[in-house]
Formats: sequence, C-alpha cells, structure tokens
Amino acid sequence: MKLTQLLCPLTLLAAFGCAATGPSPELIDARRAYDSARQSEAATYSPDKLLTAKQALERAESAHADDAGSFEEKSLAYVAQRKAQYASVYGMYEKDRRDQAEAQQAYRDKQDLLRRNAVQQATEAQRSLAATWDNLSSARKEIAAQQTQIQKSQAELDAEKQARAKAEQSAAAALASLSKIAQVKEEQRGVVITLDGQVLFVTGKAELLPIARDRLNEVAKSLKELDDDKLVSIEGFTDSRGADDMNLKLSQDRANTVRDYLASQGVKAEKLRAIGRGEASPVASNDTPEGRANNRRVEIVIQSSAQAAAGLSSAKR
Amino acid sequence: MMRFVSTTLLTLSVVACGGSSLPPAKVADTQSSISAAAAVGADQNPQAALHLKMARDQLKQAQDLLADGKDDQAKLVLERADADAEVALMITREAEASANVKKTQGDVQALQNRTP
Repeated sequence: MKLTQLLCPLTLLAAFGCAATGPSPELIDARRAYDSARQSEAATYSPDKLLTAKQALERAESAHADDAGSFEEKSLAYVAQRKAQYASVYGMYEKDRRDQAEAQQAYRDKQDLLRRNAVQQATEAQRSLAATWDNLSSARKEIAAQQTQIQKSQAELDAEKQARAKAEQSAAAALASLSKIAQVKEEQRGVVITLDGQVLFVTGKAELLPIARDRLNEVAKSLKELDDDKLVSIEGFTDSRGADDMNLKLSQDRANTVRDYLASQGVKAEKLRAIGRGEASPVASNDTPEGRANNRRVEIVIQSSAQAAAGLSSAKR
Repeated sequence: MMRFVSTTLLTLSVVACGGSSLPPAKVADTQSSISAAAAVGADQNPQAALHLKMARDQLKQAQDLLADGKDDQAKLVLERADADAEVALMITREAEASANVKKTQGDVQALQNRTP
C-alpha cells in the first residue's frame, strides 16, 4: 500500500473533521459582539465588564474546542454575546452618568453666573435708586426752599398791600380834611383841589398871603401822604381882566410859587409840576365880580402816571 | 423489612441528589434578576422588553429541563436567562440615564439662552 493511498482517506477524514468543528452561529455572534464592545465606550468606561465578556467568550471558545457544536458551546456563546452587549451598554451608561455630572455642573455654573449677574444688576439698580432718591431729596429741599421764599414773598406782598391800603386810607383822610379848606373833586384827569386865588395871593402878584401858608401847609401834609407813583400838577388860572400874556405869566408865577412852597414843606419836588393856564378854562363868567373871583384860582391835580401822561398830551393840544 | 426500606430511601436520595446538581438558589437568583429588570421598567422599553421576554422564556425552559432531570442543560439555560435579564436591566437604565442627560443639557441650553 502506497503512502498516498494511506493519506488520502486521512486527509478526507481531517477535512470532514474540520468542517464539523466550525464555530456555531452563536459563537460567531459572540466574537463579533466582543469585537464591537472592545471598540465601544466600554473600553474607556467599563473595562471590568469588558473583561467579564472576554472571559465568557473564552469559556465559549473552550467549549467549542472541547466539543464543537455542542449545546454547551452554543449556550456559553449566547451568554458571551450577551455579556459583550452588556459591557457595551454599561459603557454607554457610565458615559451617560459622566455626561450627566458634567451637564449638572454646567447647569450649576450657569445658575451661579445668572445669580451673580442678577445680584450685580440688583446692586446697580439699588445704587441708581439711591442716586435718584438723593436727587429727589435735593429737589424736595429746593421746592421747600422755594415754597418758603414764596410764602415770604406772599407775606411781603401782604404787608405791602396793607401798607398801601393804610396809605390810601391816610390819603383819603387827608383829602377829607382838605375839603374843609378847599374844594376837592374827583375828575377824569385826577383828584382836583381848587384853592381860591384871593386867599392865596396878593392882588396882581405871585406873592403868598400869610393865611395862604396855613392852607398850603394842610395841602402839603396831604400830598406827603400820597403814593410815590402819584404826580401833582399845579395849575394857575386868572380872570380875563388884563392882557393875555400878563395873565399867562402871572398864572405861571403863581403856580411856581405854590410848587416851591409845597416843596419847601417836604413834598418831593420831582413829583411837582407847575403850569400857568392864564385866563383859559374859566369855571365861571368873567362878567361878574363873583365869577371872576372863582376864575382866579389854583388847581392842584393829583394824578396817576397814566393820567399825567394823558393830561400832558391834552395840554399840548 | 425496615432495613430494606431504609436502604431503598437512601439509594433514592443519593440518586436524586446526583440527578439534581443545580442548587435551587440558582433559579431564585435568575428570578431575582428578572424581577430587578422589570422593577426598573424594562417592560416599557421595547429593546429591553425583548431581552426580558427571552429571559422569562429561558427561565421557564430551565424549569422544564430541571423537571426532566436535565440539570446540566438547565444550568446553561439559566445562565442565558440571567445574561438576558442583566442586559434588559442595563438597557433600561442606560435609556433613562441618556434621557436625563438630554434633559439636563436642554436645561443648560435654556439657561444659556436666558443669559443676556
């Protein structure tokens, strides 16, 4: 018998045996699962589980070597596949836990940041509020000061008003007392005090009679009571006897005399104005002695500024 | 007569012990693994539920094998049931952990968006 004739059946036997000892589908799955697990998160996060899977696979391989295709091989390969799967999932689970811890930390960090920002904003708002409050306080103080000022001004105004009323009362009283010695009339041009020329002057002259001084003293007393804004116009008049120019000059001289006397008695000179009207504007007929006596007169006109301005313009006319 | 009965009982018990080498605790362990997986909600996760079903089926199969006195096979099948129950448990836990991570990351993003 040749060697080749002997080897041929052995080779066939071996080939047959090899075919019979191939890994079961379960073992193939287990190997794949283990390879996959090795490349998964398990390598990093669950090496112990991976080791368990490896040991399970080794048991299956061993069972395969001992008794290929056996129930034991298939069962152990099945278990090895599950252990590899378990290791992979466990790796993912561990990674999840770490991710969770990181995310929670990030959440806390973010919350801290937001809290710090909120605190900072609140502090700034508080500071701003405090500044506003300060401004408000200043404004209030200012308002209070202004109110005090207003009250003071009001008090001053009231006092002034009272003083004015009192002065007007005094002036009215003075005018009332004047009416005993002179004719006092309220006209459009102002309050007119008419003094009889005969009791004031020497006939044909601008010289005051002694009695005239008493009367003019009373007039001066009244004029001194007047407000500062009043003006006094002293107008001299004559009757129609004599030349016009002479009468005009005499009336002017007499008005001047009265003005000067009143000024000498304390009436402010800048308030006084002397005007000679001559025989113009008679108040009675010049044909009778009584009429002429009435026309010889001095009129003292107390005017406000506005009345004085109107009077001037009418005088110019 | 008594001697015969005693001898027979002893022989029977030796035979029984030899036929049932699997400790009953092993079955209980597998049942515990299955209960643990169910307790974490494996039945609600489709992938985990599949493994849990396989674990339960294999436990039943193992119990049948035990009843038939096929202890060695029963032991292997119990191991398979155990492995499936463990996988079911871990898949469920991982899914929950993954959902938690996504939620927390979403919360972080929401805070991020609130940041002026």
